[in-house]
Amino acid sequence: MLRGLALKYYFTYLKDLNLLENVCIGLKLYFKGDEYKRDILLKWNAITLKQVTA
Amino acid sequence: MFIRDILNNLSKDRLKEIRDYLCENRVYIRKEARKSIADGLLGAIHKPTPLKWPADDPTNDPTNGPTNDPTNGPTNDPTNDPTLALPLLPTTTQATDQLALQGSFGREITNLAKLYTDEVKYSSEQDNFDFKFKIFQNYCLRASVPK
Repeated sequence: MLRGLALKYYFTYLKDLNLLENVCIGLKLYFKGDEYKRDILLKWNAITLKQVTA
Repeated sequence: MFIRDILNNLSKDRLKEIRDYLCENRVYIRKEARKSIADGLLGAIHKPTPLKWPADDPTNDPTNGPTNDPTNGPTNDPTNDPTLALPLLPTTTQATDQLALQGSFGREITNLAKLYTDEVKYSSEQDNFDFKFKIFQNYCLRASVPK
């Protein structure tokens, strides 16, 4: 079961897929793929000591 | 029990193939709502005498012959008229399978939806997909939704 962004993504791009396996692969590719990892890395690199202590 | 384990380990498509093959060869496998194909196969295996083909079964006897007496079968064997009997069978069984899939598990899926709360749904933000998927599988098992 999905909610939020994952639910939106499912109904936008994955709703026509019949197999559960394919839906899983589609979700993983989008939310855990290279783009997601790069986004996380950017956020990680943007963390500063000042932000943490504030 | 050993046979049940073997059947449970097989995929649904494989079980369907076995059932369809047996049906083509005049072994009746009972189809019931909320019972897996494996249960139907097990029922047929453990019966001392083979089940008679019921007259009201939508798939009906593949031979198109008298449905009540299996001993009459060989005389009406599909080999007598392969052009009629063979092309019709797969379409009818597939259609009934699809109907069974769509119509029979509504209650289970409703139960599954009731079990779910927002916390256990996957939202992509700070959620582990594999973890949430395992929860989904676990809930399916609890609500007895077939695979």
